[in-house]
Amino acid sequence: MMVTVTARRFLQSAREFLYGLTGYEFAETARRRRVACEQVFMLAIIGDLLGAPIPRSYYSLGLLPHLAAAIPGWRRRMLKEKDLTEVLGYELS
Amino acid sequence: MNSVVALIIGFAVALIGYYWYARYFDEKVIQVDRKKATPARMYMDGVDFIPTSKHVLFGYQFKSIAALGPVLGPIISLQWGWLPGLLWILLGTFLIGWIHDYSSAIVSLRNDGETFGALSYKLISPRGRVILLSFMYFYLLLIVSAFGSIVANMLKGTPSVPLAILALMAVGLLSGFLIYKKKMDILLVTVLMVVLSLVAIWLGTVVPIGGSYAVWVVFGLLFSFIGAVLPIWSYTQPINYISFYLVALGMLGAVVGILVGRPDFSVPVFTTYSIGVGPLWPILFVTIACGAISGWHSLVSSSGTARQLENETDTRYVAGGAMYMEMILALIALIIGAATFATFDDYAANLKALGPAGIFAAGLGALLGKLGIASEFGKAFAGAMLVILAITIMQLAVRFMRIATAEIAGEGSPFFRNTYVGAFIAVLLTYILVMTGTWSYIWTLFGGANQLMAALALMLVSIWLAKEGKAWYYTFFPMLFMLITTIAALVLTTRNLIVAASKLSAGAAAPPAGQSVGVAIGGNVISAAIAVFLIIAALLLAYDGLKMFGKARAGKLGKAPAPTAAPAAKA
Repeated sequence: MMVTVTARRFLQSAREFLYGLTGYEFAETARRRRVACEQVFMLAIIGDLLGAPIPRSYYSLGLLPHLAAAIPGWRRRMLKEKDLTEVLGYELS
Repeated sequence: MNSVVALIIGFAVALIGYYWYARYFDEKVIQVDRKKATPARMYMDGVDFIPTSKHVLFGYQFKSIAALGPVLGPIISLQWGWLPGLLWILLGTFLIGWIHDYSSAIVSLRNDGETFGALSYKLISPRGRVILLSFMYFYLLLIVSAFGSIVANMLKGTPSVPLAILALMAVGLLSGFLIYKKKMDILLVTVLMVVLSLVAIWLGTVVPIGGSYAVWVVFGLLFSFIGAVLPIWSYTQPINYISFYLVALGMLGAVVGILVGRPDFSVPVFTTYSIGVGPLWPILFVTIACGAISGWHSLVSSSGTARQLENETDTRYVAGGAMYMEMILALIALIIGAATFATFDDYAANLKALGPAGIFAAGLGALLGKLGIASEFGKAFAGAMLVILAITIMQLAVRFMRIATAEIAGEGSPFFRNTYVGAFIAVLLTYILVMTGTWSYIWTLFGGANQLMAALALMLVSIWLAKEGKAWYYTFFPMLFMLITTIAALVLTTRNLIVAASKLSAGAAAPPAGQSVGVAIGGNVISAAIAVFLIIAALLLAYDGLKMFGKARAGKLGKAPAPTAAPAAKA
């Protein structure tokens, strides 16, 4: 029983290690592409976020509740001071 | 020395280092705490900050740090005999290498996931960041130049390799298209593309392609240029992905080949103190860079990994473990170099004729031959593997240089913000350096810049440790050793370059084959100027850093506020 559990754990670790070596960067790219689209979208509805709705984007009010969870991360990304070493983690790996 | 014995010693050092020294430092000095919130958990944004399984990160970290450095450095070092290189690989990793990678991640982890740019601004000085970023640009230029030169030499010397590399470009593009656009099953694409690549390598042995050194330099740079301007998912990433399997197959073949063949070292234990590239101290310590300690790793640890660690306790496994794995990779390269040829004279002659990359290809080909693989195919496979290792890093470095050009010069003129302009400047500078410089000097400069980067990372860590009231000497003395050694190596190389240039101008020496006297003098002067720049940048950073280190020890910098309580870990 103990041996089976250990073997299963080892196999799981090996699978994750292989994923890190190979497929993880695809997931990272997908995450970044998604967030780039989200940022453009956020920009489109920034009027509503600031409490000054742009008349033509009244429909964005309906979307706001769905975006509420993404606001802290977006604000952090927007306000964070960036330099070249910021892009290193992604570009150089 | 038998190669299996060397491998066993390597594994023993890795196990002792990881389970004893690394554990002690991790638990007693840093005092990692599983309950402390990591930036990944505090600022989880689904992009940069994302809690990730330690096994996934271990694989990702290793993939990011393993390149050509740990493969070629040990082979070049065999000119001193096998002992100096072996000792530096094992002791360098045990005493300095792992602690450098690990503590770079820890400093970032305990500082809200800040990268080295922000940390040098905060812990050293405002000008520290500017110097560091300028330093990094030249560091990357030297990486592309050193690797570009290796690629060109390999393609010129092994005509069976170019077809495989051309096919790899097509395979990479096709993989990106099938995975991202056609949403094909990644496993199926992987199997298809790896088989296609292997067929292309075999075809290369049937249809060799010749070309001059200059042609292959342009080819390598064109490859990198395309990688730097296209979206990363469409070209660079799929190529790197498929390449991984070829490299992994090669390394697996090497280990099995060593275990089956159990070859003895033909290189003597020690030859002489001073060889063609310089004396053992300080040149050995910059010749073998990534296999013992490498500044590149600190960039990977601090910029990417630290923001994805779910628990502080995972850091030793991810950063320290990956470094020990890289040490084993360097050891395999040393074994291949030391056991390939019948005598040391054969090794020396081949080093002169083929370069370290050629030796690796011949050695790996021989090891694969012990497994029943045809020697021509084995040699072409090993050559393709080396070119792949170099070219994947070249693409990423040119990509970063393109972004750096836009950041540094884009404020002054929008012209420099253009993607193609930034990438073109990067490849043009590389072309000039590769075509005018001498390979051995470029490699030494690359190693010097790499080790200086490591010393600067260790300085940041030492300041932070002193500021936090922790035992700083674990990183401070390694930092001093690396700083002094590397600056000495760069000073010596500068002197050699100037002497070589003056001999050329006086007509006392002949230029390298394929170069005119004027070009050779120009190349030496450019290389010397880069070396001087690196020395000045390092001295300025060291001056500011040591000043801040003194203040930190005197308690004048204050202690960082304790991190807040951790939110629940992601399931």
